[in-house]
Amino acid sequence: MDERLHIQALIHRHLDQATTPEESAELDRLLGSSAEAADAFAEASRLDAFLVEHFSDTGRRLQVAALFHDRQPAAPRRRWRLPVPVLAAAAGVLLIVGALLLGRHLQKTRQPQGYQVVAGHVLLDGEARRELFAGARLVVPDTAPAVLHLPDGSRAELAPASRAILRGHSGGARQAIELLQGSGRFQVAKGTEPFRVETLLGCVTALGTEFTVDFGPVPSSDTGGVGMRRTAVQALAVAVILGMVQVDFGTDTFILSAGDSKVFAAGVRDGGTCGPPPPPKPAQRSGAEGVPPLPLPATPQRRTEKKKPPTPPAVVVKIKTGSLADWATDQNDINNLLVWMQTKLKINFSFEEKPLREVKLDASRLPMLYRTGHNAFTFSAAERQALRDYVLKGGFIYFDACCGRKAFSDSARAELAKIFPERPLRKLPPDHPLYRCYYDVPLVAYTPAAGITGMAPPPLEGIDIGCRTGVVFSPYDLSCGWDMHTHKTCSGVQAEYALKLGANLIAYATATKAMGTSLAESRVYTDREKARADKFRIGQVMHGGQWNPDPAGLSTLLDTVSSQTSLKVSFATQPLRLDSKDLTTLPFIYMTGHDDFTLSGAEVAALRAYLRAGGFLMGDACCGRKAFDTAFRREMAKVLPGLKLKALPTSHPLYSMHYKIASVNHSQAAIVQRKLKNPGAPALEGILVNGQLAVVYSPLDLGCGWELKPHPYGVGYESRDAIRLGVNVVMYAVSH
Amino acid sequence: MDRQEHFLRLFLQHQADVRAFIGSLVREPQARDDLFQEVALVCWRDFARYDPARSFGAWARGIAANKVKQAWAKASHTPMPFSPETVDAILAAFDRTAADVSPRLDALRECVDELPERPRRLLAFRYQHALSPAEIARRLESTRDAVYKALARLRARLEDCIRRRLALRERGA
Repeated sequence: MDERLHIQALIHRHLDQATTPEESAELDRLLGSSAEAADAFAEASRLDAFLVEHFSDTGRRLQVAALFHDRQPAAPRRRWRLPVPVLAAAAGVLLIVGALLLGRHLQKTRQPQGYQVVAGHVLLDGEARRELFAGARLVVPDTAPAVLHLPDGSRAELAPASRAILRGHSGGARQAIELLQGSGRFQVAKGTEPFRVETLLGCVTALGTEFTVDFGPVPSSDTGGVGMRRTAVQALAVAVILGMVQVDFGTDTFILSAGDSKVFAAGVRDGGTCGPPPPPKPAQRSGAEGVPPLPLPATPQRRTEKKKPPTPPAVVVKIKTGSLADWATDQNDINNLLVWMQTKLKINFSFEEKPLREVKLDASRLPMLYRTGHNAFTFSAAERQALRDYVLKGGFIYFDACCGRKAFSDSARAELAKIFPERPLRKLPPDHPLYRCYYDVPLVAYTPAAGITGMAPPPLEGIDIGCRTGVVFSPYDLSCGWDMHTHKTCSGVQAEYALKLGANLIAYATATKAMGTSLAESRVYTDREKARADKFRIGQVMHGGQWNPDPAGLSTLLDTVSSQTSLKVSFATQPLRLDSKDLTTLPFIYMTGHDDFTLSGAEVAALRAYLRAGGFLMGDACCGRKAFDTAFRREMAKVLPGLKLKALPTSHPLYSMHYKIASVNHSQAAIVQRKLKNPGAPALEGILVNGQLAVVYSPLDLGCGWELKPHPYGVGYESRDAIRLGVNVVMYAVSH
Repeated sequence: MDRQEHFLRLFLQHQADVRAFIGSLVREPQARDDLFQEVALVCWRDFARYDPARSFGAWARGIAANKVKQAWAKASHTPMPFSPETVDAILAAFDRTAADVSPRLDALRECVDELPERPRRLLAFRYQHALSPAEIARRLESTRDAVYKALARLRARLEDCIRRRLALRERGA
């Protein structure tokens, strides 16, 4: 035979595990001595591996289609590939699971107590039973699957011909099921103790997740040698749909996450089961053992059992309503979001589900409330007041219109208008911190039913409490995305983006909690003496956007002016419209905000006249918001045509008016988002009218800094420098 | 790009070839998967030591070669299919013949799709259901030797098909 063909034949026999020891030795010699043979071996091995890859992918695709029906698969993670030998068996199992999914959908609305068979039949000693007990050894007839509700709220769906023992509260698990044969899908309720499925090969431990387990014999073959001996090996197949599970297989431990599946196959062996270790074998006792042993060493030789980690703090309460079909159609939404955050971000939080009446609305302890649903709803007057107080004191509420239901959306809008009549719900601007506080999510993809093609801005709307957004509402659901599923008729944000927005919501709610609670206690200074005749007064401009986001900021600045300078100050700032007659009585007006605004023709004319007559305007883009910045520049161009805002050089007398300000420290948000140096130069801008500085504008936030409270997302200056800049602006305006 | 993302990008790009290298030496699927997992962990752990001037695939395969040798050394009761020197020769061959994986996989998909029903079924038995040639022979009512030969012929045919398709694409490009 041709040498090259001979090498090829040996390589193929090696790949088919058919080489004799002599052939192996010959291949070894040839590969070691011939680069050409080694190259051929590498190419053939690559093709072999690619074929495995190609056909495994085909198999996986079939399984996923069968498993998920209309569910969107979890983000692909390739930590584990499905081992090939028992793929056929696993595929069968997963087809069964697909059928069981339908059953799950039909039974979501029923939540009986104890061990109960809620669908299908279960035989106990040959008799059909509806109610079961811990210790029951049950058989599912081979005609239909059975669905069990467990005392901890979990759900087990056992495939036809499965056999299992309900172990109850056992070995540290709140519920344990021993699967003797067959397969099951387990939806595990939230809880602090683990849930466990035990098999002879190994056990699967989970917390608040969803997974399938298949256990039973699969055919295998032994081809070593001339003949072929067919045997049966036990296999344990685990597929995780949501969350994470731990699989103890023999002495090894594996962690599988959503989307992972793995088959554990081996000969049946001891030591693979879970629970406490087996008792020691009875030992032969000799007479010498009657003598008392030597004293034990003072230090223990074994470590004590590990303590359970403390329960993570509850970051969010999901509000329960009367009907499961209303609030719980995405049963795993918030749980799945938190598990996802734990996996991705290593942040460990827990959640609770309660009716609103049972929630202690204490903003210092509970950062976030979550209300989702399909149906129309109303709050009572007391509930509205409690929710208002909760938000004003630093709490955060997220309303989610599940499946984009109009009835829920209309109710949420109506209720929010009643709870915060003075604060309209508005679309969050593109530079809102919620779109970038953890993940950058400027654009999202929507589900087909939403009718928004391509990437579009996120759908969130909100109500601002000062610089903070205290209520967020989404008319397109995020909850289905958190639950990792989509419906054809469901208008929502696709899972990948929903999860990122969810992480941002939680990050924002927790980061702004301290700010919200401390701002709720902020002091607003008032005048002891009401007489204002000789006092310096400031007017605050009311405009179309949110005009007073930092209610305590200006009065805190004025307090500093009063205490640090000889200027007599009136703490009562006067809100005024630019076209009001009061404008001419005030030497200094202040204008701030978050949003876009437009001045009317009369306002433009009045402001122009005011500035030309020697008035002074200070502008401040609250939180450094771009929308206000753009609007302020645009409107000032109308007020003073031909005159532009120009940066004030560091040599400008304003910077040495009271404090000598050579450099400033920017807030963390400014350093991160605007890539500003720390410390850096102040960035005030101004317009000269008739040779006098008449307008000073700060595109970076000053007002949040004046409040002397934490503002994690304020793009501006640190409080000390914001105050120093503010005092200098006031003193400059007074003295020029 | 952070370190983790950089690693993932490189690893995902080269994982098929690393898997192929391990598979060329270790034919038992479970052991193969375990080794691959170990190699992935070591690559991540030692990623700081990876020299970007070198090919990531070659670096990862080097780690895989060491892992395979260690595994064989531990399992002293089973004969080693190849000597350590041969493993090094195979490693060098993989380095010499390394190429972009994705066009090859695309070409393979097209070549498999072109196959008639019976050979495709044969490949599915072998690679999708992981049946041994003996079991395939039983199902197809054939002989083991015939299945060996058919598989060898099929692989040679696919290799040839991939080569032709890649050459065509190069000319087209």
